[in-house]
Amino acid sequence: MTLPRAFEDRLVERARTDPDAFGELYDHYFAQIYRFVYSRVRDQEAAEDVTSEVFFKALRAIHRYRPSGHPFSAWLYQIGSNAIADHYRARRPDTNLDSAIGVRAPGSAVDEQVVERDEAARVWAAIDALPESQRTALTLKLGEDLKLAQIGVIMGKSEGAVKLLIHRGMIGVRHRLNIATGPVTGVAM
Amino acid sequence: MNRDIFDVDPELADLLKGEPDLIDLAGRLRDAHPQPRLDEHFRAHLRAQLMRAAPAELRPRGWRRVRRALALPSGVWLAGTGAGLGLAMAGAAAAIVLYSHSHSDVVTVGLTASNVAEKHTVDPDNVIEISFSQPMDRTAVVKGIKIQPATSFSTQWKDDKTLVIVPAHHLAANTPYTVRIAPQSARDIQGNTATAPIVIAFGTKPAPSATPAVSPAPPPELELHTIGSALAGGLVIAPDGGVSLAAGAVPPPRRPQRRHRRPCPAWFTSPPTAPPPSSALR
Repeated sequence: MTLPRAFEDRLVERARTDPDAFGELYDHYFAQIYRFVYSRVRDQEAAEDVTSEVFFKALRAIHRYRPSGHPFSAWLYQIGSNAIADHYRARRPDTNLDSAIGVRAPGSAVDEQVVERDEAARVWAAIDALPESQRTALTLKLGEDLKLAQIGVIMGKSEGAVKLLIHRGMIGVRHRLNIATGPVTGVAM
Repeated sequence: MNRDIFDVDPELADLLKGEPDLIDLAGRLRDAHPQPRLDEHFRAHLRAQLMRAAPAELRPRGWRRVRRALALPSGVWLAGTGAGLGLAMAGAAAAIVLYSHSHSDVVTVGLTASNVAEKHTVDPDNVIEISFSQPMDRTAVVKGIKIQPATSFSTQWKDDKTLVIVPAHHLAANTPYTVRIAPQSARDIQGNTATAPIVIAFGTKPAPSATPAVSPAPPPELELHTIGSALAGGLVIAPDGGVSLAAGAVPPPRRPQRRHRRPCPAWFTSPPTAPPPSSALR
């Protein structure tokens, strides 16, 4: 998904003044950013609004972008992360996860899909209950497969801090899932 | 499951090392990650909006300072920099030119210039020209072309960088079209492939009330002496899926006659010089 660094650097440099180059960046990163935003807001309409905001902000600010040794997408994720935070500040997300979460299950029976859908809703509801920083770190790691260093850049934290957030987030999810399902398997309350 | 995590994300496996229940949970979370449905109309609509706003936003920094210092209005600025911007556009990596079979008019619906309204005013008689930034592997590119709604077409190369797609019949009026070239097919002569599909969206204008006579004559612009000698074979691809479809390049859900399902925010449709309220990055 990542463009070759030298190619990307040239493209970004051109995009400071060339709309077509910016369009190329948009074409390449739209799906990534939309997926990330959607995974956080879990609503198509809200995801589209936030994604629009991300790319308009990027368009207006690209002349200020300075390569940091990380992919250009890290900068877009950073804008996206801030835009999502703004979105949550403005309006709490809907919690109708049953209708919002889709799970890829090609070929599985309807019953299996329902079970998987419930499972997806349950585990992501547990993530929703985490503090925002843990939620963001987990989404970027588990949903976007980003490196710890990139997540650190996006969140403005050290790699060690990101590790801690992910670990605490995982423990938090485990804790909440155990509470939700009843049996507690030795997790301290 | 545990093995999956170790395979796909060694960092995560290392982080959760010694905690098999967390590794298992990470696998469950990864599997449950939402897979959003991408609305191709939204993607194209947002791109058009960005491209409309881009000329006003992407200005040389020196000119920004001059304009700030002189407090020039946007129109003055645009007039002063129009020529320079035009040159930048000329060097664009990918542009689409649609020109009429009757060559009465030449319409450039570039990726830099189109917006939704313009996209829906393309003449159904048009052919589609795509310019690449480097010499392309002609066979690979042609194999990867997919037009939605399914359309029979032939292809001609003006040169190694310029492909002309000629619909076998007139395009349907008042219909959104998407031309897509799968990333692995968008290959240059050195074997480099694109990392994302090339997607060009446009819409045809409504049919006139009186049905015009259909001219079977080929477009004069496409004659050999006009286009050049590098035409590539005129391959016709059947509309029933004969065109190769790249893995992952799923045809978008089509919403005929719809531009977007809801009104855009006010800032979204405002003139390029009027930024959204929260214009500063935090």
